[in-house]
Amino acid sequence: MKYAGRRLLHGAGLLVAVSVLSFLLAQVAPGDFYSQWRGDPRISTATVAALRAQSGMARPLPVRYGAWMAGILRGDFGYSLAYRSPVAPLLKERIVATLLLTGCATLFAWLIAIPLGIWSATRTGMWGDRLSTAATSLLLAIPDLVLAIALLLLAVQTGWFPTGGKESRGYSRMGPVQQLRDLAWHMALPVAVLVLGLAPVLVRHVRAAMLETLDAPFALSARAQGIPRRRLLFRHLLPAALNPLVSLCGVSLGTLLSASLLVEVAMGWPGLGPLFLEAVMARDFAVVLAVVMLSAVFLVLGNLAADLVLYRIDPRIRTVDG
Amino acid sequence: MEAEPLLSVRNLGRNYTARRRWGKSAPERWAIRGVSFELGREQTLGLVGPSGAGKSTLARCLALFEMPDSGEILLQGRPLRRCDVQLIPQQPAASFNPRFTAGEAVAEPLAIQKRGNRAMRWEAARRAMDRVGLPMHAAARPVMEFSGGEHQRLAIARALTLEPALLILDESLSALDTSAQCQVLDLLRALQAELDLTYILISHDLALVERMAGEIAVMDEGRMVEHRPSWELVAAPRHATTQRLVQAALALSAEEAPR
Amino acid sequence: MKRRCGFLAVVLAPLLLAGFLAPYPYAEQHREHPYVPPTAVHFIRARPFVQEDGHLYPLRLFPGNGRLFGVDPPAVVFLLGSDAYGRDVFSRLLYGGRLSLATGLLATLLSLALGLAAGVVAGYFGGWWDGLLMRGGELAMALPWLYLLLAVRAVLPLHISTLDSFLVSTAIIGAVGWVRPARLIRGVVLSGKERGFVLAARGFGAGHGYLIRRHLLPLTAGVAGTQATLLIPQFMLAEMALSFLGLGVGEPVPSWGGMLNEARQYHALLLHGWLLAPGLAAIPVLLAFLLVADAWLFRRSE
Repeated sequence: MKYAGRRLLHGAGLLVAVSVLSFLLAQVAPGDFYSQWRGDPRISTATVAALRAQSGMARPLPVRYGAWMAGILRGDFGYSLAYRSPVAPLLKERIVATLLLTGCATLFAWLIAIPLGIWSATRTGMWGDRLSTAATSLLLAIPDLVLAIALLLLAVQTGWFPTGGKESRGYSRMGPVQQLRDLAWHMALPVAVLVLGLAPVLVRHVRAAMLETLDAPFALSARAQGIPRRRLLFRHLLPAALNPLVSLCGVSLGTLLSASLLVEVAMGWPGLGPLFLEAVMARDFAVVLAVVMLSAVFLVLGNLAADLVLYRIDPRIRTVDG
Repeated sequence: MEAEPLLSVRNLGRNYTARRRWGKSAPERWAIRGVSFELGREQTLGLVGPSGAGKSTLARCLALFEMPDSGEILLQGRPLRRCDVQLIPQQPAASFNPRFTAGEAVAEPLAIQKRGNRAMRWEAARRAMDRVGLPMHAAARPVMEFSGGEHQRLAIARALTLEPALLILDESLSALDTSAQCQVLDLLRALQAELDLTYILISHDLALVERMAGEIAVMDEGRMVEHRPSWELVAAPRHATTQRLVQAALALSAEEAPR
Repeated sequence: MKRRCGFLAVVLAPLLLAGFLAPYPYAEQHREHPYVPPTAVHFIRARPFVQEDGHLYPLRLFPGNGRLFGVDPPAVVFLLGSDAYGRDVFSRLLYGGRLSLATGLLATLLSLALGLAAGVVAGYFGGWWDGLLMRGGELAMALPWLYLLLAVRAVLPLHISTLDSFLVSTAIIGAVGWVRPARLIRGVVLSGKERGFVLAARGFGAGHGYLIRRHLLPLTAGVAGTQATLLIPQFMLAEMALSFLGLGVGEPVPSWGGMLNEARQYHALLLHGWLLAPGLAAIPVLLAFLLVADAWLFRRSE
């Protein structure tokens, strides 16, 4: 498990670097939460200075970083000055909402992409493949934002879907089945946008990976031996095409927290995105830092997971391990 | 050969041992070791030996592509300078940037050494091409359009622009067919007479070397095992490696003979 | 390939010619005409007219203000309707597209320059430099880039001048995108370093500068070109996202993202659907870049 250990160490190093970087970023910011009161005649400069000192901002940089880091390891992400509450509970609810959205979207996108990609790869040059390639190209060219707004337009014009939010009024009084239905009703449009944005990318990758294995010498010889087509596809080719897809899967796991920011903002989904945007506008750096850190953690973990899975399934990597 | 030799090599060694890592030390590997020889002006030395014998390493050290780890190389009694020796590489075609024109490629050493201005360099390149039997007007053509034998000539022309005293041909001829080989050998002989050139001809093909070189050195496992005039060496090989090489060459020519 | 490049040119030309094709300056307000739907153009005997208060005004070519077409006041011509301040959406769309394109190009230039520098240094000098730059690249890849973009933007004052804001967004977007080109270029340099002609030139005593400039950089041209066609649309999207979130260039300068933000309002969705036009305009532009990039990649893989 030397390889796995190395990858873990590597990921940890990356995380530390990310944390230092984002911490420093917040430090070089001109002005902080308190600087909005600078010109306010009701609050004296002394008060502001005292408030700053109280929040611990006057301590030297490494000490503050250490305190912040120690807090994060305990699950304490600091105190949001704009919301007047600790950051962690504030984030929790939003993260759940975001993960719900991106999780569903990622799942659906993969469920569409794998069969479509394989199907398309086995029919290169035929009308089916051409159609799917053209469709994915077109979808790739439509910005998420435009899709989101177009679907909102649909929602507003027809009234079939809600135009924002996560749950209807009176959600808490509904039965579990109704609650589920209400949630699905609210999620439908944002998930649709995310799936339409993600699936074309995945389809292209699946198709490319499959094409590569279809042309590989072992596939040709297997075909020459007369292995049935279905067996060839699923027993021989799919496993061989898996490697790039596992990496891609790691990336899509990693972006679970960060992929939906724009869509959330555009469609009024109460996830991390809008919270982050508000925090940016209000210079609420505790929240900004926490969100950046968390999404970086997700990215690193996603890649790490992909690396470890690759290690499990690909004998070539294991032989490198000496 | 009473006069001072052009080239004298003393106790040359090149160590390829991997650098120590993690405290483990790899066994020492010398590509060449304790190589000494002398070579007179306007002479041709053939350098033969099985693959991995260290011929190319020796060539690269002589051309100052690599720094030897021990020993010294003297040219007319003084340390070697870069322009004194030119190496014609194993695959001349690959040694030309396909984006260049023939003239640019031939003039490149001059440009690198910052000699003269652009027009002078171009003129020198054209002259050099003429000298190796390529038409001067071909200087404007892209290198890509030349054939294998012409690449060979271009490489020689390029090496000559720096006016070296010693030219090393590292397996340069083995990729050519027999008639092209003969033509290039004729060219090399003519240039030798005209420009007082000294050659080191590296090959695994003893027969080819024998046609050109007055003396032959045999290398094996990084050492120079035998160094004598060609006819003597071929007629009565002393070292086992030389005997093997000579026998192989004889077998080959015997096969070719009936044709 | 040729057809695709042609398509790209056709799509980009209107944006580049915004100052000529747009009938109005981007900030010109017609307060008496807010939220006007697209102007109907009537053809009478094959000549275009615009109706205003029951009168017909001719739509004139080359009205003399250096623009392609226009109409005499008090009539207005809003081919794609007008926004809340009575500004012509069509004109703003063209100008906004030019801005997006400029951001995309500039940011691409920046990240390609960074990527080239990093890739060449890492590939050519290797060792310590390589390790540093490639670890730095991994770090940059580990950061959620949109969040980072916003975070960096948050660090800067919220209200800065348009030009500053343009330059800042460009710089941020460009600085985020250097990693992929750097990795690819590193690979090219790494293999190029061992090519025969590079070794030969080194044998003639060539220095680092000469080798990089004369032999290695030309080798990277193909990769750099492909990356550029991939990066430009990506960065245009990033610019749209930034300005949609209100962190791009500010009013009154138009940008597609900012215009889309207006289109997202409930009343706009319900009543003023034409405000969506900039979003639709983005599609052919992005598609054209995508097609060219695809064709280029395909040709290089052959």
